[in-house]
Amino acid sequence: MVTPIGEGDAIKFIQTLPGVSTGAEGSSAIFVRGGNLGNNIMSLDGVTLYGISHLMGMTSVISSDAVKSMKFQMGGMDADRESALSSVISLSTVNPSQEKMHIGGTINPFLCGLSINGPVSKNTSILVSGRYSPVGNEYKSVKSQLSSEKGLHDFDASVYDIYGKLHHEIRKGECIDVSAFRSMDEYDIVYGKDSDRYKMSWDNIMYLLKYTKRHSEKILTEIDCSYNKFHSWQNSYLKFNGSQNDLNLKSRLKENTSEGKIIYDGHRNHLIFGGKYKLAEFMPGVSSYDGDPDAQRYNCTTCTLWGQYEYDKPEKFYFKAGARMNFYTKQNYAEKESFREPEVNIMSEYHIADGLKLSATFDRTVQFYHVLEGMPLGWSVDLIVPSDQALPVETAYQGYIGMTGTCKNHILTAGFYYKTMDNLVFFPNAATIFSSTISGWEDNVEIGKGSSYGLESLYEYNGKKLSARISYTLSKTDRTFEALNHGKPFPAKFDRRHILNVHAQYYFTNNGNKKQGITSAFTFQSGHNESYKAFSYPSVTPDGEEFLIPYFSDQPNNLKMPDYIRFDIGYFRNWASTSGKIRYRLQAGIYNLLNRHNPFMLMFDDDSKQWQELSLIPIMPNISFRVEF
Amino acid sequence: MENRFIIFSTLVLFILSSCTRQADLDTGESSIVVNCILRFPSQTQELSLSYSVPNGQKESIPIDEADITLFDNTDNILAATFTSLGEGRWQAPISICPGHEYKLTVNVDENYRITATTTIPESKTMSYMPYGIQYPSWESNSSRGWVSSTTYNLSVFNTPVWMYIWNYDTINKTHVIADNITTTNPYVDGFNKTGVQLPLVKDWEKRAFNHLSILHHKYLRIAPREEINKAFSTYIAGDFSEPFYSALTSSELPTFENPITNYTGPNTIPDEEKGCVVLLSVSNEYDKYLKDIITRKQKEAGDDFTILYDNTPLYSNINGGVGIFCSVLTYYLPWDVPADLN
Repeated sequence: MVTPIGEGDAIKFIQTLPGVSTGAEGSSAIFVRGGNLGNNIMSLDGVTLYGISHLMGMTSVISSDAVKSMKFQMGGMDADRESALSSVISLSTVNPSQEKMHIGGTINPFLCGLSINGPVSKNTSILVSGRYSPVGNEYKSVKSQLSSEKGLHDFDASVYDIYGKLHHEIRKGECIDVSAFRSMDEYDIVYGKDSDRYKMSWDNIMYLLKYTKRHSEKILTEIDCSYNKFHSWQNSYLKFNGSQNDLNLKSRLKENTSEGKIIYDGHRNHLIFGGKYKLAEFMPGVSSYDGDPDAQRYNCTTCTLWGQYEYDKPEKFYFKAGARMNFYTKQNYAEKESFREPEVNIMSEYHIADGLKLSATFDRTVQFYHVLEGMPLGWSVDLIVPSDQALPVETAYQGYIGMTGTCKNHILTAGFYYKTMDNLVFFPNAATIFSSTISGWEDNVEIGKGSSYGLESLYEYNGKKLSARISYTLSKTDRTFEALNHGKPFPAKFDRRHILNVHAQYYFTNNGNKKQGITSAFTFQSGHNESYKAFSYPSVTPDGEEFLIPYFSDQPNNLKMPDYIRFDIGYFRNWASTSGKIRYRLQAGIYNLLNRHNPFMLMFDDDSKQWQELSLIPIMPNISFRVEF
Repeated sequence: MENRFIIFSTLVLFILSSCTRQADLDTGESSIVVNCILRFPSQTQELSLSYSVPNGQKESIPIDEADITLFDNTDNILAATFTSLGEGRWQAPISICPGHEYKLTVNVDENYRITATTTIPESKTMSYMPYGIQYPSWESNSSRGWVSSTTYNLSVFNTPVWMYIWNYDTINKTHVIADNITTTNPYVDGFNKTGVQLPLVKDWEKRAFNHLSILHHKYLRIAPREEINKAFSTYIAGDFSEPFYSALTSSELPTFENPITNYTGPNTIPDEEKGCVVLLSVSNEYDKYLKDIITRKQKEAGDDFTILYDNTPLYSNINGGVGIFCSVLTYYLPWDVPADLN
């Protein structure tokens, strides 16, 4: 598919699925069936990654060279997952090859990557994959063309990721894997007549030790220990009414996890059960006017026991039922709070006729981390905070029923979902997040509910040369907080009524290593919602001075942003050397062919005293070249 | 190599050529705006009626066709009907009664029905002592507590009072409000403090006000407290921008050997072309409204960027619309400001 940087990306694919709404222009944010951004978990070999995107959301943090498979679940979830309210994206990494060494490299204007995969000894193999973005250096070479008094003055970026995995076979059926991952995104933008400065950064560090033993053809055990750390920071240094303002928002999360599971793979019956222990340290949303903020620290432990049963009779009946029991404790200095929350996930498929299948799912999910909604206008960083008595554990119930019809190369799926969420957290007055006089964000949030329902449809055609996919979602997502809007429901921020994605690919040539074709994609999404003053009205002071004062609607998210529309086209070609040892891939395309200025964020211009839309990705050609040997 | 780098850079050019444009922030919401402050003493009452101003625009659209009535809930009679003067201004020929409750009803286009009520503050007779030399009293905060400025006794008021200072601009023939004001009253609301301290004057004989105090922006708000019922005198000083009078720099301070206590009720603006202290005895609605809008305006004019994200609702007692319906009794009090110092 066509992406802004010209490379395939798992998140970009997920964004085209029914039931999934995207964030602002070009971002990797996904909002699944009415949930918030933070209600989705992405895991890498079972370890949660919190900062999942590079280049302000244009691509994922993990290189596709390191990813073997991706599983996206938004209903009927597997029991051996992290707790998340809306969806789980499970990335499994490639096992390093024990046969021969492979080296691959990719180059495009935004990311250059190199991967090495192969044996280092008889029983040991490694995979190393890294990418680096030359965007900062490229800007410097064209700075004179870009700089303008009122526009961009300076830009710097430090973007990279590196993944390494060592695989060692202890003996047949018993192996150990050690992996490490690091990603960094750091941007520094100087903009406007007053040289306002915007800085944002997020980074991940992950270490994983996994031990796997196959006891028999049907029984497998896995034990792993991991450490991951996520840090995010957003800073605005800008002039307002002649004075400099320095606003910061920072968040950090560290987790140490140990997990063990036993897998039984029978002919039709499959059973998995296991347990996980996680110790997490939070340093959640903090801000200050001067320099680096100092935050409170919270320690949380989560102990989860889970089990799952599957029955599969292909082309007839499939059933899966999983249960999780979570024991969660939060500790802040001398205070300790404990919770017990169960989760249930059920999935069933029944073939009622040839080519016609009925499916249904039911989920009760919980989430022990809150991602605060109600961020100020123009600020997109979500803050992760732990649950406690004041901010109870988020819970959700979701049901889905649908039907899939298959006829030759055509597949049509249509279904209906309904979801309710509880204990969602919201900032009613966004300005309080910057206040240095408030002891904590806990004093300024509201607890409430959410609901979402909708119709999801997906049509796929897989021909010999032509393949197409059309997804359409019609949905409605609300939030209800007692203290807001007189307790009446109001639209969620990313309540996009209509979401249409059309994707088509045509092969001119599809013959082994030789492939050539074109792709195109069209997306239409109803605009998302922001909170803004409803209008202004005249007022008068005792001395007769007249001025306009703002009126704030009781209803948050009262401003509908423009619809999101984009059309992309692309060309790809795969070929190999005569010997077949070297393989090449070229991808070229035009992202946003219509040059529509979909807004990425809103910024306040002190000169004109107006809010302005910043559009990040105008019409953008892209090219990517990959070589592998 | 260099050429290839430039090609890649050119491709990056596209994304770094991100553009901005003015955001369309019109939410589509609107309302009727009613601003009506019932004044006493006054033979007429005024009201402004308009539509709200959509985001991105600056002017409101006045409403000149409506049915507007004022009902006296205390006497249970129709008190007045407002008539249109054009451009959204309305007027009713009525003198209101202190202590009474009034209900305002506005009907626009048969679609909008707006109501609001206010209770007029009680009329009080307050006392003040014009400039004179006084010997140290218990409330003086220094060994030489004598002052030569007017003092005001606020103990009679049981509703919040707002005060500001007017001087008279003889060139433009109009009164001008002091940008900053301060007082010795320790119960003044600090919501609009500027953080700037009134500078002391070293020449004892020339000072009018020599108590350490912080300046407030334009207004003083003093809410009723039991402590005020003690005979506590309130001094007021003002700080005007050039070329007007500064309380501390004028050398023309009249003094009297025998100061006299004067009394006054609500009155009308004095005819003399000189400065005065204006005291407003306000209804609860007006008090809340003034505090909210002045706080908001002060923040918007300040340098705190977070005001852009502050969506604290501002007070309004208009049912079915926005604005304010309230009442005020006005006291024009003399002040020791020379008439013309231009």
